[in-house]
Amino acid sequence: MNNLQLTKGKALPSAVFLFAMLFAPAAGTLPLRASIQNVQQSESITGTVIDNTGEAVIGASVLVVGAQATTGTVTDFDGNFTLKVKPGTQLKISFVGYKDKIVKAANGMRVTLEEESTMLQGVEIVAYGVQKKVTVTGAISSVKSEDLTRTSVGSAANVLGGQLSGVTTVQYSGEPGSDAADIFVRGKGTWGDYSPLIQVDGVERSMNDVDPNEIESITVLKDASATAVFGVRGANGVVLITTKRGAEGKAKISFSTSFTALTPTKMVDMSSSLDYALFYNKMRANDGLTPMFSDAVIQKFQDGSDPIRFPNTNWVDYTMKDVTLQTQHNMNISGGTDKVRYFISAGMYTQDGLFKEFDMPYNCGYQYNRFNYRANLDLKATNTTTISFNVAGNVNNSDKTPNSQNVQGFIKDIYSSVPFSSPGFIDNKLVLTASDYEDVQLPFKDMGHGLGYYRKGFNQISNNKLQMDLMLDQKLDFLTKGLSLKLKGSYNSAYTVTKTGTAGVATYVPILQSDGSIKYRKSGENTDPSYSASQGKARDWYFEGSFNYNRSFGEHTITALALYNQSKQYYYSSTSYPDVPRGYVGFVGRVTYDWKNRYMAEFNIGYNGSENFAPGKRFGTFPAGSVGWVISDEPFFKPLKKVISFLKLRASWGLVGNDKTTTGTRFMYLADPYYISSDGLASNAYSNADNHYGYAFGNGGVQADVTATKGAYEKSKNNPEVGWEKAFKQDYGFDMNFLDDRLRTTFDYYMEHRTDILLLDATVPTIIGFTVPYSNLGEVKSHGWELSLNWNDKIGNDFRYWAKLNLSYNFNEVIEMKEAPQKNEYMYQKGHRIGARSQYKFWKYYYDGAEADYEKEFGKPFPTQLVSTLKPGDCVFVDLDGDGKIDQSDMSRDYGYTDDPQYMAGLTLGFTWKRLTFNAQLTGAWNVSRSISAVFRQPFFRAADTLYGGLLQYHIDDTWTTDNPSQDAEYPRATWENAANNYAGSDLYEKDAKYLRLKTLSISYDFNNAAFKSIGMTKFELTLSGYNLLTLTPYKWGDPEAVASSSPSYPLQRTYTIGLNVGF
Amino acid sequence: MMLISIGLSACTDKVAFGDASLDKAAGSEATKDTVFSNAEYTRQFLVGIYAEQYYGLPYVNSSILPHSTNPYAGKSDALTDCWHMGWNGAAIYGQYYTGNLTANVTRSDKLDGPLFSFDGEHVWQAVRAAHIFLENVDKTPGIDATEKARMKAEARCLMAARMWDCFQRYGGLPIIDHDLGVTETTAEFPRNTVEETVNYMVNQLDSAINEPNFPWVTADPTTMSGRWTRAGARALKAKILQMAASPIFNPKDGQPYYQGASESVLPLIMYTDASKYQERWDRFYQACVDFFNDLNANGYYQLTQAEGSNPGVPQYRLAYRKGYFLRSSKEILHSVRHHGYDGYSAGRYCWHSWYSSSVPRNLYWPTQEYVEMFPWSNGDPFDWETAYNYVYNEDGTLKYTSAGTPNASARGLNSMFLRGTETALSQQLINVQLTRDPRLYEEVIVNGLQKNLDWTTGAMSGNIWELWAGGTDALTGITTQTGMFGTGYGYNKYYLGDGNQTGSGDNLRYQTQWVYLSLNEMYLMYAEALLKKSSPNIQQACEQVDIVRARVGLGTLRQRVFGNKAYSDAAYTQKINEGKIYESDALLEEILRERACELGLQDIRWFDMIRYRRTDWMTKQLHGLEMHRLKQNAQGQWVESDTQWTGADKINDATSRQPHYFTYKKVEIFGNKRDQWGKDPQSNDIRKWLLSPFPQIEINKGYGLIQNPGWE
Repeated sequence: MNNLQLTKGKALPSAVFLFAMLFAPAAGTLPLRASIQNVQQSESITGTVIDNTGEAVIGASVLVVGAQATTGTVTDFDGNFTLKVKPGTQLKISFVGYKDKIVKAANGMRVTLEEESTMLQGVEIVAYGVQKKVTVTGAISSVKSEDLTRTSVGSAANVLGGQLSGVTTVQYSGEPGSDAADIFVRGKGTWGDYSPLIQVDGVERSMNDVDPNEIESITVLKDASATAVFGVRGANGVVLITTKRGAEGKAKISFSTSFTALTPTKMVDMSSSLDYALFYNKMRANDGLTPMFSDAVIQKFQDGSDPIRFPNTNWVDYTMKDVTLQTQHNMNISGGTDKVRYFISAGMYTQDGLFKEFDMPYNCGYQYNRFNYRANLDLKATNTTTISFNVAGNVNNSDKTPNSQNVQGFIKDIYSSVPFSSPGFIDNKLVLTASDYEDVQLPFKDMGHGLGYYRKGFNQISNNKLQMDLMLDQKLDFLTKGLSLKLKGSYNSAYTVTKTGTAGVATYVPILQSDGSIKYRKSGENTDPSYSASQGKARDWYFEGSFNYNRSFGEHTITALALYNQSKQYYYSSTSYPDVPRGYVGFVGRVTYDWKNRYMAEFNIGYNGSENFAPGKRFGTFPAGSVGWVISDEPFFKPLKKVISFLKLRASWGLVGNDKTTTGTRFMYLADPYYISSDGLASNAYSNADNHYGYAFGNGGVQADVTATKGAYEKSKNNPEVGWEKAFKQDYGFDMNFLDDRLRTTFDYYMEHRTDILLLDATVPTIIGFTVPYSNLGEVKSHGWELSLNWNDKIGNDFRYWAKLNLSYNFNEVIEMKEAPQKNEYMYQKGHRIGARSQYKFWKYYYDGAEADYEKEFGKPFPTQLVSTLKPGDCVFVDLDGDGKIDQSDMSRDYGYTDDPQYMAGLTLGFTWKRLTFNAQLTGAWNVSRSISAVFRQPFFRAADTLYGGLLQYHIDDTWTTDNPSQDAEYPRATWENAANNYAGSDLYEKDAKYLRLKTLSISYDFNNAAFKSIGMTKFELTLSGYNLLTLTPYKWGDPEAVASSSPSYPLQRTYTIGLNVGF
Repeated sequence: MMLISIGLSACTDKVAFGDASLDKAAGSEATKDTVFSNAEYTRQFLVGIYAEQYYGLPYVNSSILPHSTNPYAGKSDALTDCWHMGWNGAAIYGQYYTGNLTANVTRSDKLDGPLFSFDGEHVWQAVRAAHIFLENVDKTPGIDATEKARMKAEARCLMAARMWDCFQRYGGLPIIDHDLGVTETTAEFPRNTVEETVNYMVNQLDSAINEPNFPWVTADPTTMSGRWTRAGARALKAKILQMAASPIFNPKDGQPYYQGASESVLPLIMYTDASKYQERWDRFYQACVDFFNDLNANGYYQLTQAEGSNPGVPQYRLAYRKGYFLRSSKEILHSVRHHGYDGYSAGRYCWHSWYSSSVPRNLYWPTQEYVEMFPWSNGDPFDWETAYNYVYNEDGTLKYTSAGTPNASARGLNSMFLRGTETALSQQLINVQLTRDPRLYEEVIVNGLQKNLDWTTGAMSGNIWELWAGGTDALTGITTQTGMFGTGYGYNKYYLGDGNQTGSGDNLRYQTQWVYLSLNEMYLMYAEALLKKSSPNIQQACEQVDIVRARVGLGTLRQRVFGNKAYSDAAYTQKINEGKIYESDALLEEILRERACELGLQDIRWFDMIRYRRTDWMTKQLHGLEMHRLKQNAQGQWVESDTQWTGADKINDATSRQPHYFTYKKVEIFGNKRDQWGKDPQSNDIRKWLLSPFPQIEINKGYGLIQNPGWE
């Protein structure tokens, strides 16, 4: 197999493992089959019901014809059924959406149902189980595996945006291995923790741990009806990821491999040395200061005659590669018998970092490798017992720079760097300029250069995660028909090793010799990295036990669920009770009823306990109810059916909760904690806020390290009254199909009212000397709507095409946040969207005569601005409260949008024609903005000051100057003197970040032909695809999803992929 | 199978189900009961309050430490006429120099607020902790009554000191007099009057002072120094009463510092009863007397004196350095210790590490005005004009000696920092004499000074500081007014040398303590008290100042400053009676100048400015010194040359000698210039800066804060 070469040297151990995984279970199936034969000696027959695509039909009823209606069964999750009848008995197989079929019973029979209507097929994953799609009354949307793997991405989160209605994603960063998008379900319902609960196979796990190739579907539960059973965790929506499982049949082998070229979507241009110097001097002249750069220096920059001592380095180009490589390989095998089914997968994902490593002896350029494995096994132990076992995990390695400020600090360093700080490498020496040349002096030197990471060491992080699930499904029909018991236990563990190397670097300063040559003065040495390692670990377990009941009585179908779950997470927090594991307990109940799939009602209840609250307040009850009505099934609807083939109305109401605070405070009800034996001195104790209460008494030794006398202090105040944060959610929607289901639409309108939000009351005096504990005082309201249109049709036999549009809108408003009292309403977050920024309202750049125009426009005298003397080109802000002066009480949250978009849209277009498949996905977001800050806002900004930092080309091109006194300039007059005014946070820097982007594009062709088929090949598909190929946006400061601030993101990537997918 | 494995994996825990599984497992967390039922933890709790004290050397940008430790805020010394902040990243520039400060603080790090944050300084946490300690320590078993009494006295000092830190910047404060409960958060906490606040602090200190078990010196200073003592309590009491008696709070004419301040705010910003004006000075005087009586009775504290039979300027300087820098110094009455030493490139944060050519942030440039305050080394006042005239002709051209070299007269500009002899044996000057007040070299890095000082002998060594335009250390920073030496000077206090972490600095690995109260300040305080008390005693006042001057080898005030002229008690009293002296006179000016020289960068100048409402120090345009190196060209003419010596001529040309002739120009400071300069010092616009604004948000909360005038 040629994949060994494809994955290069590192893949060898993984490839060995992969094959071991593939063959071990396949060999194991043979003896099992023998034992199955024995079981079949009884009068039980087993069979499988599938549809015409080969998919299992779940929940199909299998009834003995002519017998009493109660003799029969229902197919299970995998379409299997077992019935105690003699072979040859007539059986009626029926399932909603399919035509009924009458067949003779035979052991091992396979019955293929024909679809009645494409719409009605299938099931929907719901909380703790599955439901027939037609009877679903909650707000749920889902996406299938093929939509997640059209192009190669590390995390499925990155291709969700625009695919699912009601889901907003923001991908802030492109950092390999850490580039997963933030997901919001129906926007933010609270300013606290708004991330949804993400479960993989029913257990809370990270989406990034799963190879997208292993995913069968991703389902998003949005309303209370769908999420109430998660009680404590469901308030922010739930994302359920279901991994693939084997289906009965011969082994299917699928192999896919892809190679991807990555390039940043957009980097920000930086100025040249000459422009830097000229702009600097101009800015000083603006403030009446002497020039910083002498004419001699400027001459050097201009003629470039002395490029080593007076260089001009574009640090973005110098340190970042134009293109890097990503590879993804996956091999999986699935299949099974009627007793054993399996899905086994192994995948490898590698991504190269964007940063050049030059001749460094180690990697630190943000490389990332991940190896995923998974085996999902289902074993039918008896006719009534199914045991399933999943084992999955991944090993990943990332190589990062040793910069303690992580990648943001690293990118920040580049944008804050000075173009003449270094010419880069000369004869393999890292040369840094100096400000003390004898002839012409640079005013400052290596205040920042883009090679800050060079030979400074490395930071290698290895993660090893292992996840296991064991499930038992026992049918209890002997107690009462339709009853079953499920038990599930899961265990997750992770182990992280972080190896850090810190090294010294030799740098060289150029010294001009009298003969004009340059010699170098060395400083420092290239040392071998000093080496340190630290370990991190995580383990948690989850247990669930449930009774399920599912039975039809004629046209009435009732299902019920009673479930208990409990989880424990060790090493949960590093700050709040780090030695104490976190636990949850939940009781879940659900009853659903439908009559002929026409009238549906459902009631859910979650009863959940949280460690955070006092006994007695600990448990919260979260009920939810929903109803549905398929109008199109009503007799009176018949005449309309030609146009409207299906119409269902849905409504749901319910309560969901949250127990987490933003700071991760735990056990909020206990006696006030004190911290004892703090032995750290007051210092830069960033990492441990507790440990700086020691004190250095005594005279100490002159050079001795100081030993602290230990200290103790009152750590915080607790509140025994604290309890659940609650969200009351309502959802009203309809599903409506037109023209024989060729066009399917779904619409939902929802409202959410979040109350008792946990917060710290900021209205209390600070001088009480302690921080008030969390209390249930906050309130947020949100609402929105979602629309999805899905057109799917065939022309002839060979051409199938589709178009799918999703549109989501979300509005939220803080109703109460207990903010510290302010002078003006507009200053509060209260009354505004969560995340609304506080900023001045920019009016115009100042000009002679602006005072009169201002007065004319606002009817009020021109206010004193933030500085006493304005010069033309300086920002003029609007005096919102009319008190004649601009101060913080004129900062309003009324302007601009927020980082998370109000509208998100996705459009998928595609077709298949014979063996050619084309798919394009466009994603757009609007009513979203970014506030540019730091070096993106202010020239020469760096963390320490605004004197020696970087300069973007934008400032040179688009700053108000006396030569170009334009009101349309992006930036005001450049100044240090009036910086407090001109670079104050205002809506001038609030930039529209709406975008429309071609998120993915893929074209594939299946080359499978007779020759291939003769060796058993079912597929040989070549795909060309891309990600983030094209972005239309008015936003200029990098990618519109990224952040242009003091912690700028790793650039988002545009990718071009060639992939091969082979099936046997 | 799986369930068993769960059981195994969790075998270290008891697996419980339902409600019981949510109870907090046993952990390390302590509660109030844990602390006060254990002698060790009770002692620790007191130590925890020490960690919350004011440390005046900003060194770390951390949200978990008091705001004033943040270099992005800055030191109030830079708001006076003695230092100017050259870094524009600090609130000193962004809020004060620009005049932008308002009562509205919106940043969570409070960097858009006052340097000393009303609500971000841990003042209230420390006050609370002290109350918790005082209310609970009696319960603790295993500590004897003597130790409890001592610890309570320490807790009272800690509380009073933290309130004092806040009081001297804000005026009357709300007094929190017990351990508040959660339900009291809605109570009213109005500001107390200046009188009430002063009396509360003094009462706390008096309780400590009167505690027989509160020692004058700790039982074992080698292990216990840094703890509050009766000496510290007495000194703090005197200092509080000094400010209480000063014109800011005790105006003789009963007029507030801010004209037209509302009636309701008056008692919060001053004593409204002017008839007790003199009584308040006398109360201050009495506190000084009590301190010195106690000192005479109990000894121990003394100024660190120069060693050797015939100490020179370097030895005096070393004595002065040891006096404030070493933790074993006996002249320190109370010090505050944070983590504070430079661990030799270990990435540690301290005052020292924020000041180097690569980290040019703590740029407290000494001004020309400050440097001129330092007399010549015998105590004669320095006069620029005189020194200038030695070097320059009336038309501004240079004077030359008969040998053709620029003038090098002992009291001319070329000798105003040091003088030495050129020799064929050495590139650097030999027989270098430091010509000025020894403290100048410890407060200020001046041009030509060698970088290192030997801790034993006081001998100087190493390269010289090149602070002329183009010089190795100053480079272009002199002409552009940027970098470490924008005024032609750098500060040296608590820094002690070359800070670029190459290992040559004098203070690397030394713990940097903040001197909170010291004996030299007490002498100068006493001098002021003697001058201000009923029936002033000029003779004694001068003697107190002379004690401080003598330590650094300066002649007495009468001999050197007043020229032995009659400056008698009688004459002074007469002037007072004639109403000629109100807030100042020649001796007071000398005391204030002496305080600035003796106690540089210790917040003293700022509080003198506040106390005496010396807004003229705030509004005057300040100056730097621009120096250009004079170098002989091929024709033998002396011409300006903005070039390095150490990094260039010295290594390239063995015949090159240390530059010691320069041209001098006093230049107006234009880098980071202050909005206040040139304004009317008596205007409310300027006067409002004397007290800080309370955060508007705290006022809005409506628990009774009233804003200081000018900040509404």
